[in-house]
Amino acid sequence: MLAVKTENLTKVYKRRYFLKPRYSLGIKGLNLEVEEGETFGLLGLNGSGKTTTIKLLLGLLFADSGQAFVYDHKVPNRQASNLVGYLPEAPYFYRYLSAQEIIDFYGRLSGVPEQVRQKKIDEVLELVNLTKNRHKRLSEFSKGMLQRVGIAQSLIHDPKILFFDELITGLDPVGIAEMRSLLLRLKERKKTIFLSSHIISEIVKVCDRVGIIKDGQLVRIVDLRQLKNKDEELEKIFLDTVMPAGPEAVS
Amino acid sequence: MKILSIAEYTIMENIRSKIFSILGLFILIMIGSSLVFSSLSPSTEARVITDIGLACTEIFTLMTGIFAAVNLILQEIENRTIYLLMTRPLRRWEYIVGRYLGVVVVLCFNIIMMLSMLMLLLKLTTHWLVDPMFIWSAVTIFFKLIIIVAVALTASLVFTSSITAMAFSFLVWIIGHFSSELKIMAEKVSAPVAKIMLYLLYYMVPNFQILNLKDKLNIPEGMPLDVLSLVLTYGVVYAAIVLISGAMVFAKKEF
Repeated sequence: MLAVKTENLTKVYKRRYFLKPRYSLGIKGLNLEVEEGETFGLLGLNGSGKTTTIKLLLGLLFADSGQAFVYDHKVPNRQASNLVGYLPEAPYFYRYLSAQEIIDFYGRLSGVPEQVRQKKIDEVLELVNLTKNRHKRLSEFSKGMLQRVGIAQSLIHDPKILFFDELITGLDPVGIAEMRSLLLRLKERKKTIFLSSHIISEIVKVCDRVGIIKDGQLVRIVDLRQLKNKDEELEKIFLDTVMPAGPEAVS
Repeated sequence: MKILSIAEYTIMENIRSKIFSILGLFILIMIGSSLVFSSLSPSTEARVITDIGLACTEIFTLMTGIFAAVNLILQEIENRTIYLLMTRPLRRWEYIVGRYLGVVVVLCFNIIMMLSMLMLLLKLTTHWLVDPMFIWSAVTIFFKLIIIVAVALTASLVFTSSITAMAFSFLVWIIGHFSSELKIMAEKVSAPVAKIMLYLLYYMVPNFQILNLKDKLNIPEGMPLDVLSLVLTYGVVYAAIVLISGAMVFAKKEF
């Protein structure tokens, strides 16, 4: 079954500058399919359209043309929202709440019944190793701990698919290792994971397939399971794709 | 109920953001007034302190109401906490209604606290007891509040600038107190464009003079029921229409 499907998805940003409209391309004609249970990475340079793609799939942005489906539900759609967990880049949480309170709040909004909510909160806090700190206010949390809270809130309603946007950006090596280990555990649980990043070395450690996006267009799909030396080969493919003139062209 | 969850965290957010510190300023003004007017006769002193107290309650509630309502959603967009809310199975209008109810509850509590302090001060200084006029003045403040919070919240979604939205809401509040004057001007002005503009303003801006229950009090029979139901209907319907407009704007918003 397809977890994600897009057909000619296009988004153009319109902004007004002194009453004059200005247009910039978000993504153009995106056709993409992600299988259920797959870990898919969207790889691209900054501003290439990774976040736009995720936001369109989540209904935070509306497409100008084309359509997107999450588990056969055309988005934006409330039923699709029930199946989705999301963690944006550099998430901000209500700092006056504790980890327990914030996850409970998102659980309520996701419609998790009261009878099972506490059990679910215990489970996700255990999974992200925050049980001991559950009553601490988020203002006292480190960046890595906040990222773990972010993962916990995305899992509270047991979604089928998880969207993680630049999950490891800004984390220290310990935080990166923690996130990688969490992703692998979620993978073992057969969750579909859709993540965006520009860090090749991390993408290869967790993803099954990678889509390379450049200037708003999906230009290549790479099946990492077919590569022997994943790290080096993906880096070469990526650089050849986004900079056909070669990395030397930059200098 | 997702609306109640949103309202509950709005209340918690406001309590922790120290919105109630404005009560301290209110106490200071009230104590200051009682000292300044202590040389007057007890009945005159009670009347002056009551008037100042009610005016302060209305102004302070208005200021906190507009400030809280305008920043509610704009801050959430700026902080990007809105992403995690709008990707939940939550209807956008549920979010707007929940946020609105949360602010109204907080401000109601603010009004009750201010009026309780005022009554306590009056009792201690002038041995004055609450009269119906006082109660109906408080109810009028509440009705004005439910309208102006809806206006401020919707203005924040339309203008997306907190300063513009606050200025617009204050302007609406001021014009709303001069509705009958607006109507007279519209009737008297001869230029057709100005006439249309004034009538538009008259019908679109809330008429706070309708809500003034204090002037409609019929002593000794009390508040006429038809007047009260008219005021209640006007306040709720006006706020609902403004909120529906806000929800329609919000439904098309991208994040």
